[in-house]
Amino acid sequence: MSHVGHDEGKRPVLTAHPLQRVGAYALAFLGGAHTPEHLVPSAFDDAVGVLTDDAVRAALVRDTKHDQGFWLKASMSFFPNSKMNHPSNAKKDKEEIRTTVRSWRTCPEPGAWPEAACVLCGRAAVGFYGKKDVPLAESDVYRNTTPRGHQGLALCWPCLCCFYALPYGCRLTGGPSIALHSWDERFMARTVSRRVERSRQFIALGTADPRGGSDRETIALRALRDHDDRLTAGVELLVFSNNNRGQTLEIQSMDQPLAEWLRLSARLPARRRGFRALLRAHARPDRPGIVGLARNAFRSTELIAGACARYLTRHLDRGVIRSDSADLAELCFSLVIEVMRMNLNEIDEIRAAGGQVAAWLTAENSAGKLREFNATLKEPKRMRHWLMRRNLDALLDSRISTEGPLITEEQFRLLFDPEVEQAWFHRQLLVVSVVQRLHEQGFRPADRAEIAAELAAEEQDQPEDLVFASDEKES
Amino acid sequence: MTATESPDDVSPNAPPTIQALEVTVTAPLVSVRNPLYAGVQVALPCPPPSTVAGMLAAAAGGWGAVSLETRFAMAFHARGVGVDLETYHPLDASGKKADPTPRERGFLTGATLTVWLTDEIGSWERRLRRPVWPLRLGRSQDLVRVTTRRVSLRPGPGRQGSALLPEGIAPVLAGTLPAGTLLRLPTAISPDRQRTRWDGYHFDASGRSDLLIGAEWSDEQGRAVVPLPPVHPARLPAVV
Repeated sequence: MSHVGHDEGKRPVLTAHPLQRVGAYALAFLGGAHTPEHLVPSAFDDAVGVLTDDAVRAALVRDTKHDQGFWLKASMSFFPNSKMNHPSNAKKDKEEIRTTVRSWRTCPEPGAWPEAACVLCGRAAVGFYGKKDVPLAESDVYRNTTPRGHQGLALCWPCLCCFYALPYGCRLTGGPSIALHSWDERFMARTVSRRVERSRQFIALGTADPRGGSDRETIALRALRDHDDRLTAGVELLVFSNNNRGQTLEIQSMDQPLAEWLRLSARLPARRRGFRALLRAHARPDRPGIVGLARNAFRSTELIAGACARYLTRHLDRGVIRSDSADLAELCFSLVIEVMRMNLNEIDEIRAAGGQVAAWLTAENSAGKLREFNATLKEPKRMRHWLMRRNLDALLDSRISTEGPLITEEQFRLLFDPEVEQAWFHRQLLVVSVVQRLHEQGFRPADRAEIAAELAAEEQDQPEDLVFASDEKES
Repeated sequence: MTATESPDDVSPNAPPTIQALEVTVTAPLVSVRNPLYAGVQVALPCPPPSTVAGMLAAAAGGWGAVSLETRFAMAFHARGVGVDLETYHPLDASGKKADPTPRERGFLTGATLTVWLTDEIGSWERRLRRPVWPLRLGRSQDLVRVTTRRVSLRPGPGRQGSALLPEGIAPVLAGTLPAGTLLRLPTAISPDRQRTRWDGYHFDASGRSDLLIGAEWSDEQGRAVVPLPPVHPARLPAVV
């Protein structure tokens, strides 16, 4: 065993286990420290005392259906069948419950410690633990995953207390809990501290969050946009339950470039404007845009770009360029460059082609021609034919002020060459670029005002999106 | 990583290259479980270095036959992911017969693992041609196919692609991070499974990143070849 000093033996160490790390930050915050390494031993004891007092108070409620039974109910998704929520508590008197819960949350005497190192940090283990104490661990009666001779996970006291503090760093629903994790330590310190503040309120009151189970991905998106510093790592969303009826874990990951792009979309003024349009692009009649965006952010970056393209082209068949088109198009291109890391030369080529097509459409000043172009997006053959034909028309028509050909050989290759893996995506970007340039050039076909009025009546922002955009600082 | 220098008959102006053994491991199905969550069977997006090291040790006949200095570079790509139901057989400590339980388990399909070894090339070539123990990647029921060839590595940066990169290694382009996800993976596990060394690694599951990584070596196709930390369990400290 390692011989660690008394102080070091009470300091949580950040390990490779995401749930232990969330708990370590929660424990630090409960002890008044910003990070686990700043938690002094006396504050560590105080923080553990808070955990124990809360557990005793919840255990004395005895009934999860009681008005103040929320924390007792939620604890079953973390520490099922523990002394805190054991079915036998119903028959015990208050003092007996207090004693057993406090005993459960007391560090074993050194004489009882096993000859084993903590599996997470390597310090002296104080015992072996299973799923009653460590969410998503194996039951301590099974030996499938533990080393020979170990009766569960060997854990030191601070690591064990991190798991006891874990619920404070999670969004508690009473069912599966939601934890945000990142290897970016500043992000962890900030988001976990906010979450601890809220969880403490609900644990102390014994009541559930009145906002209910907000969409899980939305929680991550809100935390990203509230973060002040550049993100140095991606973000993981862990939805888990340690319930006796079945342990579950779902992990969704967002890479650093996308996480940082979403954060910046709340910081840079031009991108803030585009973000409103981005929410509209993801809205459905039965679902706010913020939910759709957050889900796409965890599933595939390309889905976000696709939603932008669909939104920008949704009413082109009526010859209408939306007023938010330029902001959204610019945001979309920033996504393509910063997150999807698309080759800058290729983007320049596609934007140049978009500029030429937009110049041709502006010269024509016809909603019909715009509709005609938009209709080709779904059929590469038609778009190819349309561009080839207009390429010749533009050369012969003196009214059209495009400089050079409508589309160059290189641009044509990027859009239609079967060898180009992302050609379909390049075609979407072409349309995004055309719409952006048309908006900049003030494209106004004769019937524009009439149709725009119809659209305004048809489409209202989702109330939840308006709240999100105007009140982002609320955690 | 020590290197076997290239022959002297190359152009004097050419950068010095080293010889390496490129090991290509393919399998239709691979499943590498995340060891942090014993109660659920969550799969990792790539085999951790400890798993690859274990496979090499199996070829050699056990860790006793493997040099303490063993290091390798690796890249991994899977064409798809899926989730299957497996029957889990709990091993009850009390000796009672426990009921088998169906559990979801993630897997990767169409997997290709590339490992570069630069030390004891001839020895590893022989071991992998006639492995002492069967070679697997995370699922005991699935054997893998292994081929080897000797390649030249040249010094300098290489394309990230599907390389597994130790945390801290950066792209040549200043201010950027390697593409993909930052993972904490086991580098080495003691034979009694009581101690594990964890390290941070960057991995891009898409394998599409063209970022130039400031690698020590690159292969003939321009792929970054970055040696990972030592993997021999005997190098684990007795107590952290």
